[in-house]
Amino acid sequence: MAVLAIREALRRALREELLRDPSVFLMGEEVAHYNGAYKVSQGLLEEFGDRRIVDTPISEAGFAGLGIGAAMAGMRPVIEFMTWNFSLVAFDQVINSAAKLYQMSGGQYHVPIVFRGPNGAAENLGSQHSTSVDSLYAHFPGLKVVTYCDPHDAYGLLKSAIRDDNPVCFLESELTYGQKGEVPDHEFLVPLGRARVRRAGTDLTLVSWGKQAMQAEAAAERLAAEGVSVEVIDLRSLRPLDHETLFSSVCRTGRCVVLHEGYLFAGVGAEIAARVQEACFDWLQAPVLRVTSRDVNQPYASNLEKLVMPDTDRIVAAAHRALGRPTPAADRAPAATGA
Amino acid sequence: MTAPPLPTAAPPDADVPPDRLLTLPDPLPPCTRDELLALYRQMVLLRRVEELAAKAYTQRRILGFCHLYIGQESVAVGAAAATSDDYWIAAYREHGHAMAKGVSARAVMAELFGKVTGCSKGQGGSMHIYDRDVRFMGGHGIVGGHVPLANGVAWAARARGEDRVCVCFFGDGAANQGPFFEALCLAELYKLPVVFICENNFYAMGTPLHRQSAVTDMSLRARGVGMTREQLDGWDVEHVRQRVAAARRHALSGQGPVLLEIVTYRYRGHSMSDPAKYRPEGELEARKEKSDPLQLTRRALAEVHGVDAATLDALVAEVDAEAQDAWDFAEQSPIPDPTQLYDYVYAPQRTSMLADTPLPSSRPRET
Amino acid sequence: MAELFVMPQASPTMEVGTILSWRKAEGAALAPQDVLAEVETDKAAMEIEVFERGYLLRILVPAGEEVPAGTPIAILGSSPDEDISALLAQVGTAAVATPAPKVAPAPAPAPASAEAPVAQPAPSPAPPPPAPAPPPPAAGLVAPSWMGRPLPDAIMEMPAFEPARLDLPAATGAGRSSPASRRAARERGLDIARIPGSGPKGRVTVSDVEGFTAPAGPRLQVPGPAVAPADEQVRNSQMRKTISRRLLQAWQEAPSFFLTVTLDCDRLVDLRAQLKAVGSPVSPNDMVVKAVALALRQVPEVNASWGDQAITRHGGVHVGVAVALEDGLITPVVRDADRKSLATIAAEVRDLAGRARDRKLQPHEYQGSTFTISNLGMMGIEHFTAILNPPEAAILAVGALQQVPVVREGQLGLGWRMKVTMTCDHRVIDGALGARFLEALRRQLEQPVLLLT
Repeated sequence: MAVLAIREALRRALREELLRDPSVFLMGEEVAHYNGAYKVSQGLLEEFGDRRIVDTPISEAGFAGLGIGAAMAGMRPVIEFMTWNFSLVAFDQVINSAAKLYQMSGGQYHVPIVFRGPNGAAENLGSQHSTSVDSLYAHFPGLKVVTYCDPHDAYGLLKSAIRDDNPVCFLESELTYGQKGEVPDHEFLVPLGRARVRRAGTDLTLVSWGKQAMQAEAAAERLAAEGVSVEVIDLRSLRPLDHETLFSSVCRTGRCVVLHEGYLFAGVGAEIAARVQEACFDWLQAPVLRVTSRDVNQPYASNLEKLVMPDTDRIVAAAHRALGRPTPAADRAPAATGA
Repeated sequence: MTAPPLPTAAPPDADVPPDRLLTLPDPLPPCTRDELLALYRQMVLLRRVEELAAKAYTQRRILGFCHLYIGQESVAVGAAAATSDDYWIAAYREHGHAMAKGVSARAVMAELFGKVTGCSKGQGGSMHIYDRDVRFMGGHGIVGGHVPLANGVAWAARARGEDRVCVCFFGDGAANQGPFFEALCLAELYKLPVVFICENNFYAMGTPLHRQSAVTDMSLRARGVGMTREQLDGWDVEHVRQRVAAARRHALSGQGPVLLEIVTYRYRGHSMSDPAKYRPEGELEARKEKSDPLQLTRRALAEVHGVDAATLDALVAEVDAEAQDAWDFAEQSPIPDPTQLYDYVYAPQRTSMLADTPLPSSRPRET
Repeated sequence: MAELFVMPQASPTMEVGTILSWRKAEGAALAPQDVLAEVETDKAAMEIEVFERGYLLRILVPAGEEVPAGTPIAILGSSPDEDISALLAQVGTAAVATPAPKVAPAPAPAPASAEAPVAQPAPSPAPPPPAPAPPPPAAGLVAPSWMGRPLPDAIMEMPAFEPARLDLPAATGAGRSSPASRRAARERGLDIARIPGSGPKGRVTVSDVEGFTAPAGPRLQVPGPAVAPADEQVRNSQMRKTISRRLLQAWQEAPSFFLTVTLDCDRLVDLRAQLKAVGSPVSPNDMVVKAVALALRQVPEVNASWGDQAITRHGGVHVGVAVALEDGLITPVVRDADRKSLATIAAEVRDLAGRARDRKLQPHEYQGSTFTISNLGMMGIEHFTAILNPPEAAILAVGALQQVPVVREGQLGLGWRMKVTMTCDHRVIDGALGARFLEALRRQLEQPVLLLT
């Protein structure tokens, strides 16, 4: 079993799918000659040529739309956004075209396309490069939205996303491209719509996805030292959502905390909390709580940025609240947002 | 070590990109009598179906927004005569384009009536007409938003080695939208086989051209990206046919796409709820008098090809009957089955996710 | 053929239109797109057109009048001299005032309609082959469906969740109840488990709780005296059955006697205050646990169990602490309590009691005690006797720690006192032995500094 960095796992998935299906091509800013802003596509131009690894101008609406048209006409494009923040100038393309074409055409044109790129805050990138777009895209029927937290899932999910016959938003993270982990040598797929229980537990279900799932594991570790047994679920897919894994875990533990990087208000956590309370009402021993970014646009200064992002202290504090335990003063968040 | 030459925005010895006008001569032989009769018939059909659509709208058989193509028939019909086997993509006001491309009047009318027999199964409506069989790819409702898609369609056609262009229709209003400019840049950069057709009908919704663009020759939009262009009058269906054919030939030659600005005029308001009071008094009447595409073609048929009035009237009566048949078909068709409400959100997987791959490790497994 | 021409619906919001002028006169010939009249709507003045060749045979609504959209305003025909009497009669009777034929009702949907969702599969749009069958929904989750048809899994309608099909713990409490009803019950001092629920799946609602407190109030004007709630059968839980069996056994088999002493707890109270001041809070019960453990070490004959052939004297001192639950009790065990510090015991008891109430104890945490303490002091009970926890030979019932008048050196004053009562299995413990144990216990608790050693 090889140990790969996430960027290598993504590259391996891309390369295999380019080899498998001649209709697959990768397009985006600096993906070819520059080898990718984050080196995900390193070496692919050399192997596949400039008709399949395609540099674009800074023109998200233009090349996102190009990808959608190509998908309508039978190709399987992978469109790289240098960051999902830039997808907002192509939002109309993704929502009004990619998500709706199958429906508008009465099922005549489907759009097998992957939009991928890093999502959410990295470090000190400031307000316009730190947005988490999960809830924006998960809102719309017609799209699928998936994300990963380790190289194994990065590889398996990207391959499934490329093979899927519907548009998939594939959310990555700048901060974890270098993170390493084991990836089996044989080819495999991780199906879209299936969550992964990263850690089994009995007292509380901690739901997360993307790089926050790693943070969830760290918090679970700390809570274990206090004798609290936390079940950590990495949803991996926001749409479709693995209700089965989510609900049966919460029914067993009776408590649920949702952790995510997007905002509290109208975030994906709100949807999960609503669904959990509807399905698991009679099993809940505490309100479903959410730990999210604070309700501000991302400041630049490091100390402020740290305050905005969810951190282990806030997760532990939320867990304590759900468990009805007093939170030691040191664990208490400076303000009462979210947790 | 010698320093490399420094890049400059406009090196003194470099050519300023020339104005690339479409210089290809008309590539097709002139229309025969029968060919022109067929084009005339098609234009009459487009107009008659649109008249019935207007009638149906006032009776609330057609709901929501409804944008009619009356007045512009020569553009879609002339273009179709030059690109019948190519891909087309259009925005709303596309009832005419769809029929010109070969979608039946029945399928269009039934779609407008929201019936399951409509070409988009009642899912689309006036603004979202699609027909895969004739390579008609919509039917898009966000002004200018569909123009980038044309590049992708052309990309796919070229990647497969097809001898086809993508013809992209939009209006003078769309030529102010950001994605339109991005699409032009990319199309020229990648030398894609696209024929962009800007149907300049002088009004973007209710705003006249001169109040929405400082440059009113919309074909000039091509210059900044180095694209080949031509501005032409669209009143004469034969002329449209020839110039679109020339543009198609250029685009397929690998020399890059073409932006055609075809000057035309819409007789009606932007949509059915727009009485179009913003037009100068007499403008519409003068246009109808001078350059109605149907009348011009009728005259050409009579004067050049010696077609008699009785033949033409019979043709019109036949088209009236066909349009009425489309109405009756739409009227009698069933509404969509509510059990199919959710059938058009996600495409079912057409190919196995686990199909063989050419990799040495072969069959993937799910984990 | 002549037909009625109605006030057109010029915009989606238009309800009425006013005819400003007629542009054609009766008898005029008409061609498609000819303007027939000018009409004022909610949005604008509009020209209304005709879309058929023909003639304007009759104007029904004169200029200046306002009529609802859909009202006939003219009669058109294909020849100038058509008979329009039937249409006039029709208009004369009803149509003039009525916003007439909206849209003719659409024909019923194709076969397999909503009304017959079961057997007939609706004609589906024949997706290209081969669409693999979706995986069957896992137990517990009923995938969202629409009129009997399963939906694609990325459709995010709320699925039904039927936990009965999963191996899940029962819902909290004896039955289902909402947080609001649990609070209402708490505020009224009621046991939610005893209140029958009328909500979905038997859920206890707030009004069930309110109804339970006042089952037939005067406002209901029920004749005759107020009726008490009917008797109710509360099913025995497994725990209830276990308690019954074991205590009955102890009561019937063990000849028991009771020894009570009053302990002077002034020093204990002082010590507790000192410990609290230095940040090591312990409860009186924690001190009793530790004291019992040390006393058992000193009088090991009490740390024993009866057997037909032999009495077992236990090597380890494992002290059980009875914890009350909503519907029973359980005795988590502090193992080797004689060898643990007071602080450790305090932390352990707190943890065990908390998890006991959450039903999270592992078997080894509530089995194997050699002596049990039952403390009702915190509930205000001054003195009581406990029933043995078999096979143990003794149990200590601890009463409330109370401030009472005492005489010290001939002076009346206040002192902290606590009564404890030991239940002894006479087969193992005789009176004198029991007294010896209580003496050892008294020494520990009255000189509590010994507990810190």
